[in-house]
Amino acid sequence: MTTGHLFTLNINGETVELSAPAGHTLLDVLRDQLFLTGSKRGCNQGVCGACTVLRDGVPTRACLSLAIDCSDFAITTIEGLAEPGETHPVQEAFAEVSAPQCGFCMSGMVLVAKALLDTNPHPSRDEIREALSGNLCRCTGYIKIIEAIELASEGIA
Amino acid sequence: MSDLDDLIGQSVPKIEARAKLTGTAVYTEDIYRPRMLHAALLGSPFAHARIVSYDATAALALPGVKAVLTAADVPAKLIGHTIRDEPILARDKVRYIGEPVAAVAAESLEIARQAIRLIDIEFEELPTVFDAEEALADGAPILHEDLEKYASVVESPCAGNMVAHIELETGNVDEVWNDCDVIVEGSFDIPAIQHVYMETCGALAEVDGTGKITIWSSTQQIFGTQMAVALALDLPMSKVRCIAPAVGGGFGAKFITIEPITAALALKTRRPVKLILPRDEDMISMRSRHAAKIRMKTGAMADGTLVARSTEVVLNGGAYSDFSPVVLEASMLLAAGPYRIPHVRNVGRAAYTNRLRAGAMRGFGVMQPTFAGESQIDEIAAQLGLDAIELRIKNAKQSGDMNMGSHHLPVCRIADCLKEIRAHPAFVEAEGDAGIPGKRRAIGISSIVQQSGLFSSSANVRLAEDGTLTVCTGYVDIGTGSDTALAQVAAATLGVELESINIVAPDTDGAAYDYGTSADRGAHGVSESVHRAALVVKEKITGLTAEILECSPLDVEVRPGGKVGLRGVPDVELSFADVAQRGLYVGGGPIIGQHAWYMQEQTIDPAATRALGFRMGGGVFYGFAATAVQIEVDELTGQIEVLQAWHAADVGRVLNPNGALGQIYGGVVQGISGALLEELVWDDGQVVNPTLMDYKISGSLDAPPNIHGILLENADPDSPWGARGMAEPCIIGVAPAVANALASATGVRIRSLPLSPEQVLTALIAHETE
Amino acid sequence: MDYFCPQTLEEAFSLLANDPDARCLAGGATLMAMMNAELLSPTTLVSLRSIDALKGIVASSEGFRIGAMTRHHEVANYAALDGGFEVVRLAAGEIGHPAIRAVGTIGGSIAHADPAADYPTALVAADAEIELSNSAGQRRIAASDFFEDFFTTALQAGEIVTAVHLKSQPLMNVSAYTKIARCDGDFATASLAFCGSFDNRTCASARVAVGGCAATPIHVPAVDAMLVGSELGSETINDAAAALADACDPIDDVRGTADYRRLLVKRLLPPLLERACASRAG
Repeated sequence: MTTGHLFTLNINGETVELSAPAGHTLLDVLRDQLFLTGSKRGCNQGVCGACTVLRDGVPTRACLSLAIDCSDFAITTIEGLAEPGETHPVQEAFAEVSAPQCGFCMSGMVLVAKALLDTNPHPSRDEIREALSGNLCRCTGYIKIIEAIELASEGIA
Repeated sequence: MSDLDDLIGQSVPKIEARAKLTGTAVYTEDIYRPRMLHAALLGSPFAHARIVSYDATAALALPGVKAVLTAADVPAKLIGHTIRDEPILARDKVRYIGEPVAAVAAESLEIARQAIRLIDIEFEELPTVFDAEEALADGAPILHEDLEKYASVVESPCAGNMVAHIELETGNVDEVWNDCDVIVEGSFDIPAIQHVYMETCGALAEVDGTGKITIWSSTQQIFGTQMAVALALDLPMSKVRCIAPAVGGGFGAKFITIEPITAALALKTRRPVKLILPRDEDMISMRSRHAAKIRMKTGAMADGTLVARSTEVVLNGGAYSDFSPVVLEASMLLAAGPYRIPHVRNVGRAAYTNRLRAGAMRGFGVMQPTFAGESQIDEIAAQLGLDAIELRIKNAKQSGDMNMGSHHLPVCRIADCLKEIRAHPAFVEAEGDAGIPGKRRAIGISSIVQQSGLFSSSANVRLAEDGTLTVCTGYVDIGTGSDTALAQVAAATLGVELESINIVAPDTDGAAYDYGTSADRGAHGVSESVHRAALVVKEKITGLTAEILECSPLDVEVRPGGKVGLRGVPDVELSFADVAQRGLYVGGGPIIGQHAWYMQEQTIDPAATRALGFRMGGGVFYGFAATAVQIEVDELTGQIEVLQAWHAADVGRVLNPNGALGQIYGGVVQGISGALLEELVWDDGQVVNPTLMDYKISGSLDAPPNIHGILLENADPDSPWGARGMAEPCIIGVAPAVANALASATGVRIRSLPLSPEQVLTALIAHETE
Repeated sequence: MDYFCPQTLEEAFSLLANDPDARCLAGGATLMAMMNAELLSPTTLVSLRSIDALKGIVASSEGFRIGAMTRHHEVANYAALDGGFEVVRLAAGEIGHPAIRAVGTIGGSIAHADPAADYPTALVAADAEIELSNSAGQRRIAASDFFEDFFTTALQAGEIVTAVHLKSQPLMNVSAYTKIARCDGDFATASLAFCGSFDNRTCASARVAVGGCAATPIHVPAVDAMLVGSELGSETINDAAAALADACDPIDDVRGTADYRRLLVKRLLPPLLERACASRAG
């Protein structure tokens, strides 16, 4: 039933060999084959942002990416942000202000935050809101996510 | 109390934060079990029809399909929170488009989804009814012909399509209308909206070798789910285990969703089955908030004293009763708002219609009448030339007052909430800002009362032999921060570090009992359970220490940091670990504390209030708050932007300020989203916008960049710590605050939601031409 | 499902010729969403991501050639698209949200021809030309002729969009774009785009397009003619706006009713022109 295509992906710095039907999305492959379940499925339409991964450092939607079409990119998932058991300064800032509530949007929010601060280390509140604009959250009202990014920004020289 | 103060009221970081931020928190869809199957549901294509026949031959023949279930394959049992009127798969007839009619389990999701398209079901269409008032009128198509036969806890007379009919009345409104100097009357229309939790409904069920089913589910209610699965599948509860992993939001919707169907598939296949609803199926087939039509009349004297309010509420309950009777009770209890109004009449009806069931949603039956009531307060203020905030303060309930039914309000600081907002520096600055022509600005305000507390709660606290503690309640943290708050309570009671507390994941096999995450129960009743259970542990530690030290328990003191010793003799000290090990290996036994209780609701006092059909209660305690928004109206397009918001909550005592503020910010934005954007739209019974592309919720650029949360503390003697929940008031008052701001800015009063740009522009143009 | 990633256009054409049900994969923003929603089940996917001929924005004395695989954020950040070309850059910046703009392409967007999308309106106002290619060769077609109906374009079987051409036109040296939506990131309830020029506050040339108000972008030469020679703030501008609204053929949907859309068109044209005129000074 499922004829697999062979391809490789670069996930969190590792080259991974995969076999999957051509129609599988990056989200399907990350979760169901690699068990990197930090990227979440919230809508499968690219609207909610829970599936956000970084593609060469740029936030994109894993649910809208054909897995087999991603072999040229360096993909970073939430799991790749820090070594296992450790946390990235952005994650620490989010924890410190108690940003996570249900947590389902957090993988996406953290990656967007990291990508923003990598290119714009001291963003204004409006620039933060703009960067977050494609990631939906139903619990926080966005305020503590914005505060987390502002806190993380303070830690950057 | 100094040890308690170290933790209670502190913004300690959430204990699960690291997991949620590193992608390691496990939600239902993240669980994989060996030989797991994937499931899909077939939803009804018709809003009302008899099921004539099923043919699953083609589906079963598809390679990889392991089970196809319809109602014919499961016991003929009905479930439901108030009236047991709901089959887990449509039986004999379907009552709304999208109602689950068949379920498939297959080796892959693709195969399951292919298979559902191969199931052939013959239907015989029936006449439909979608409007609540039409459903209650004579001659309407009847959804539940066997309504009288259903098991029910609803007292109010149900017949035809009437799910509930409830009335509460104090004084006599008819006698006093003529005394009023001003009367405002109006009809208000609130649409059905959806919870749009980020994690859709999902469950994973697995049967073990003894026939016991384990269900992991995105649920707010592990015990209710356990009960429903057992009931639906005709099993004893001892054969059903329900676990809540991390849950991605609930807002009231996740009280029994697709767990029974998933369990049935697991039983049939004897393999683990995972069913995760795609977003559109979740929006079509789960639950909505009740659409409501409200007719309200409020009368006052020229000096602003409120005299009377008469409210009629008709709720559109959808195809199954779910929580409709209780939601209606909440409307009836609180339609008069947080005011001293001597004459109140509330009449409510809830109807079955051929739409998806309406159930609990944050705000629970109070959001709808509050939209009407708070709009009318402003209308009265405008007619009398009085300040809208002053009018509210003048009539506000106060500590020691009573609500309808003689419900006690030992603490009520609604007037202070309003004053705090009014005095806030940003508010003062915003008050003078009228915007510019074409982009007018104004502030709108509302005050809120919500009832909280429900049913039973319990906690087990166990001392491990190394002195750490395990706390087990069964209460699900759906994002409210309750796990952390409960850990704070346990740690504070025993004077130990937060890190030494192990909060157990909700599991019906381990937890004693909790009704479910709802009605602001966590800060109040559940924390009480934990506190008292921890006190039992403290008592046992004290007793065993006395034995070890050969002294009187009265001479034992518990010291900070998990230590215990002889009062007045600092050198004599043991650790909790020493005491625990004594109990386990020498004598005394394991040190375990438990507390179980029922949150007693207040009854209706017949001397004060005439009641019809009121059964369930709620009204354990009441929470008060005020909300204000500053908006800018684009008069060219009708778009409203909320520039900033304030919410002052009378919370009794704050357990975790960051947690409380997070709830406020989230509730306010969810309220803004509902006020401006949200509406489930039906076309002949079909939801036409069941995706996030078509049904929009506020994003970061739609939400205001600044929300001012104000927490008022004042210990409530009826509740432990004096804490009361505040997760619902913060959503309830937003829509009327926006509507009031719109009226202030433009003179336009709109009484239906959402306040879409189109509705606003149409009203603005009509107003211009008047 | 088969998947191919050709390196050249010729390879792509050959693959498309082999399977009439093949679909091109550009950015994936639309195609993947439709596949995920079970609205589409292509038998073959031909990824265009490796074809150099489709990439990049090239400036010349004639104007700009925007390769079909140019991502929205590239266009949105391309500062040289100013003056009369700015409307295209502004429209690109309004599409969806940042993650969509990072992957979505101009070729993919216009080939989908969603009337509520941003590019079609802007390209019609800018009088852009769409370059279509197949194994036999290449042709160009005016944007207003390219969009034929709801989700329907002039693309023939075996043809793909290879580029969008913006021509330098001396009489089109200012532009502006307005998008009205229910919330940030939504498709347009209605959008308006203007390209033209001003003599002080008098309109010297005009080309106005409306999106989201019909099956395709609306462009009414008679309305353009009404604007030419009119002064901002005059009644003629309002009359032109009313005429433009009348020419629209909107539907009722969850974003708004037809009446509301016409209202928006009528009310938003005058401020759009003001904005375009003011942009000249900046």
